[in-house]
Formats: sequence, structure tokens, C-alpha cells
Amino acid sequence: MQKLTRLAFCGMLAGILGIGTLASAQGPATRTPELSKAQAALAGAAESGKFAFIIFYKEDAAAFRTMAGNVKQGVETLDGKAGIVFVQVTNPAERALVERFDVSRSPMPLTIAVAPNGAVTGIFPKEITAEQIDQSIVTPTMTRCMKSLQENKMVFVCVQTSDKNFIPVAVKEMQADPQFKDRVTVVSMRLRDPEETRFVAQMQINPQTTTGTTAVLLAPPGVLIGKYPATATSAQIAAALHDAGKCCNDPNCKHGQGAAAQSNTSRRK
Amino acid sequence: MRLTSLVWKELRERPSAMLTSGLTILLGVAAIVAIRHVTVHAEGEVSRQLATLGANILILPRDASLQDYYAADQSGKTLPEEHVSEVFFAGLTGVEKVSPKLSVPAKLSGQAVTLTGILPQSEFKTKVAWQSVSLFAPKKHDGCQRVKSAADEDQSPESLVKNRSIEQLQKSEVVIGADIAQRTGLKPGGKASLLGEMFSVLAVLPATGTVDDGRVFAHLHTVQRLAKTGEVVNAIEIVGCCEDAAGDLVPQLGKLLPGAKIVTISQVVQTQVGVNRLIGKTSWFVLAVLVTIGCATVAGAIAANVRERRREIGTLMALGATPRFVSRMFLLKALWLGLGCGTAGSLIGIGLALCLGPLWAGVAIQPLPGLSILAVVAASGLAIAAAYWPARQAAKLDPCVCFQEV
Repeated sequence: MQKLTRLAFCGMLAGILGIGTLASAQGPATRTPELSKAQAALAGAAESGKFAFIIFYKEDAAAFRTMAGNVKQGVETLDGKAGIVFVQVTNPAERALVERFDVSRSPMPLTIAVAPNGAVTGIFPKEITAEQIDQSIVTPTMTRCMKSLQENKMVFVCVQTSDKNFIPVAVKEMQADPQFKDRVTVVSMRLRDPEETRFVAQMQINPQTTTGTTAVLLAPPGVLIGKYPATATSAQIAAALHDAGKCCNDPNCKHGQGAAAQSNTSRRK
Repeated sequence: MRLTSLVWKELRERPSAMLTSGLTILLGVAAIVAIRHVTVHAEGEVSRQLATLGANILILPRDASLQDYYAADQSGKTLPEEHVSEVFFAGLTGVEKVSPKLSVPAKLSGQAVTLTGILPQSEFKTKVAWQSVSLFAPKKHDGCQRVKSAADEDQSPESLVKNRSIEQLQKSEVVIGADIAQRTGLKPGGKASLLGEMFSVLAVLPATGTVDDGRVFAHLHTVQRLAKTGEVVNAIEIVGCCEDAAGDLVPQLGKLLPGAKIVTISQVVQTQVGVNRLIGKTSWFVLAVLVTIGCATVAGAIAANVRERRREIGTLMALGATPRFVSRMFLLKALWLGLGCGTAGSLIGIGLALCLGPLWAGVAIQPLPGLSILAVVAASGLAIAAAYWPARQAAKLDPCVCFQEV
């Protein structure tokens, strides 16, 4: 029985590696020969616009096998949107990748979901569920926002109800402000873009009642500062940002009751 | 002969009786002043800890005992360093900073020191950046999370004292506590040899009055390597966004790290508060006992004095001394006794508190003039009150009856 399980697992791993190899097989022209096997697979996935689930592990233990099996099953349901990359953290060849993700002293096994643009969209130590795998496949705008936030930048998501790319005056002023200009990224998206339905819902924007352009401000490490109509001023947004730097707007927090009373538009997640 | 001269003569001629009652007053005042100094400062320290560390949480090995927040990492028990990553990966709301610590004994310039390994916050940049993942998580935060802003953070090495974490620390650098710097004469830029490796001194911390003054802080991974401990830590300190967030974090951390003990600063100081209350209550009990004994002794001494001096009192009254004069003579004697012994007791009490406070309660003591003056006034008042009845009895003496007894 144990032999059968091992055989099945080997077969499964071969299949998984096949997906990784498939991902890494694309775009060889831009790949440098120094890349490790895992780095090459990761680069390949990015080039083909796929998410990559990197499974970091120390040894071929039961927890790793379970996680690998769960990731494989989850990835199979994603219609080719993702690949799997295995990284043994003790392998000197993969040192660069381990250092890049700074996981040498992290709990193992560890799965990190990486978007094609390099943004980390999910971190799952020790175990992972199908739902978590599904949630890691975020929308294109979400990947752009996450990438900017992970680069320590603030993000204005301009949610458009029309096909025009309108940037509110306040956002333009913030972009021009020397205090913020190097730390602000502006991302536009269509409110009714079917690919962005999840993001729209998470930003709690009602497509039925929203008109014009709404600017949603996100700040690192992961704070939704507020949603502003096109008529909002840069002073209002700067004030909300300033309040968000204080501890804190949680209505349960005794330190933040004053700040919460001052800013009705800002919201903390 | 004036009243004061009479009293002074009386005190000089019969010192033994007055010495006994004086000693009672002196010891009583000394004990009360010392105890109150320690309890007042210990309560102040608890309040300060709650104010400055109220939002802090400690993750400790399950079997670690904890009495002093600052010495939490000196239990000798360890837990895996990977718990640090687990805390970050969990994306818990309200986690501002995570600071793991590992303490090992070491020698610096021949002196025993505690070498504490810490991780600079700069090494958590990647993990902090990944917290954006939780922004889009399906399960929304109920609490708060501060926007990270480099501008509002004190990034100097000295911020370790206030913020309980340091922004930058190279693997070959150390930050030394105030006591160590004073004892070794080390200054920023100097060299220090620890566990066979040479370090450069990045900074000297300001004095805190805690065990941190006797520590040398180095990079955690360097300490782990030199002490051959492996990837373990003694404690992980989490700085919460606020006290409420910290309160919410405790059950979440307990669920995340079932093998660890999670305690808040409130829980730590609860023990200290309990001890302070006990000392406070005991001090009032001691006060009551000492007041009773002191009053009884003074009253007994004055009453005995009156009995012994019936002839002199009778002579004085026959020579024209009024009952009021006689009464005032005994009351003035009691006042001098209370004033002198109360002052001496108060000074001894302050001295005891200054010496024993840091040892017993771990707090630095500053003299409290108000409390000392109150103790002297109370001692004098009680001595007068105790002498009042015998003084009245003396004033009521009939000179004729006194002479008949001769």
C-alpha cells in the first residue's frame, strides 16, 4: 500500500514538474543561462502571463507531500492560469530565489503565489486549501495594485464608469505634489469590466449607484484609505492620509476616536 | 528657668526612658517612609510600563515564567524563530512591529554581560510588504492597521529603548546598554570583543533603569551562530497598533502558535500590581501597629515620668507654676521627641528605600519630600496626642498632696 502511495506521489510530482517545465519552456530568448531551474520556471510563467505557485520545502516530508498534492489539485482547476515551481531551500542552486523571497527561516512547507508581474498574491505556510489557491488568482488591476504596494507606493485606483480614462484633478495634484509624486501610482479600471468584478466588490463599490469616476486610495502595507468622488480635493485626500498615519481609526480604539470622528470618508480594513 | 530649659534638662537627665520611646518612633517612621517610597515608585513604574508598552505582546515558550517584562527573554527557554515569519504571514490586524530576542551570557572586557540577539526591522521589509496580500483577502479586518510611513519613525539606534526595536543593525555591530558603557568605557565607533568575535559599537543606549542597561544588543543571527543555539529565540515581542488591537491579537496569536505562551503587558504588570497592593496594605497594617505601639510607649514613658516626678511637679506648682505650664512642659517634651525621632526616622527610611528599592522592587527611588514631612508631622502629632493624658494628670496634681506623700 505504501509503495502504491509512493508511486502515485512520484507520478503526481512528475506531472507537477511537467507543468513547471511547460511554463519554463516558453520565452527562452529572454532567459539568461545562469538562472536556476526554479528561477527559469518562474520567469517562464511570468512571460506566459501565468501565476506561479512556488512551493518552498526543506525535505520530502508528509506535510510537503500534502501541500504539493493540494496545490496540484487546485492549479488543475485554474484552466492553465497557473504553474507550480518547487524550491528546496537547502539546495545551493536555489539560494538566490530563497534570498529573494527571504524564506530561509520561514515555516516549511511554504507556498507563495506570485502574479505574472511579480506581485506576491498569497502566502500559505504549512498548509493550503483549494479556496486559498483560488483566492490567490487575483484580477489584473489587483496585481498592479499589489505590485505597487509591495514597492512601498500608494495607489490611486481610478474606477471609471465610462470608457474614457479620466483622472480626477485631486489625483493629478497629488501626483504633482513633491511630497507624494515619487510614491504615488495611478491605476485605471472599468467599473463594469467582468474581469474586475471581484476587485469592485472588495472595494465595496456599487456599480448600480456609482456615477463618474471614483478614486480609491490604497496605501502600504495594505490599507484602504478611502474612496473619493471626482469632486474631492487633494487637501481632503491628504488629510485622510495624514489621519491614517495615526493610531488609529478603529472605533473600538480609545486612541482613535478623535480621528475617526474627524474623517467620515476614510475607512480602515 | 524657662520652659524649654526645663524640658531640655529633663531629657538630658533621664535619657534611657526617652530613648526607648524615641526608638519606637524612629523605627516606625523609618519603616513607613521606606515602604511608602518603594510602593509609590513601584506604582509609578507600573503606570509607566502600561503607558509606554500597553500595546505590546510577548510570545514566550509555553513553560517560561515571567515576572519582569524587560527580562522576558532571560528564561533560558526557547521557541523556533520561524514563529516570526508565521506572525507576518498570518496578516494579523494591528501588528506594527515584531522583534525576536535571544539572550546568552557573554563576557565583555572581562565583565559578565547579557548578549541579546535582535533582528533589525529592515530585515522584515519583504514580509511587511507582503501584508498588502491581506488587503484583498476575502476575510476583512475588523480592527485597524496603520499606514507605514518612514517619516514618522525614529530610525536612530537609540530608538531601541523607546520603540523596543531597531531599524538597522549590521551583523558585525553591537548596541550597548548605559551601564555596560559606563563600566567598560566603550563609546560609539569603539570595538568590542564578544564570544571570540570583534564587533564595532554602533551606539550607546540612554539609561532606562531596567535590565536593558546591562545588555549588549547584536544581530540575532550572529548571536545564534556564536552561541551555537540554532534558529531559536527566547521571546518574540510584538508591538501592537494600540491596546485594543493588542487585546484582539492575543487569542489570534494563541490560535496561530498553540505551542507558545502569549502574554500582554497588562498581564505582566498584573502580578506587579498585586504585589504593590499587598505591600501597600501591609504598610497600612504596619502603620497601625507602629502607631499603637508608639503611642503606648510615649504615653507610658510620660506617665511614668509624671509618677516619678510628683515631688518636683508639686514643688514647681508651689513656686507658682500654673497647671498649664506643667502640662505644656510634658507636651513640649513629647513634641521634641516626635520631631527629632520622626526626622531621623524619615531620613533613615529614605536611605533604606534608596538602597533597597532597586534590589527588591527593581525600581529607581527618588526621595519624596512631601511624604517625609508628613511622616515627621504625623510622628510629632501622635507623640503629643500620646502625652496629652499624662500631661493633664500632671497638671491636675495638688502640691499639698505631693508634699504629704514625702
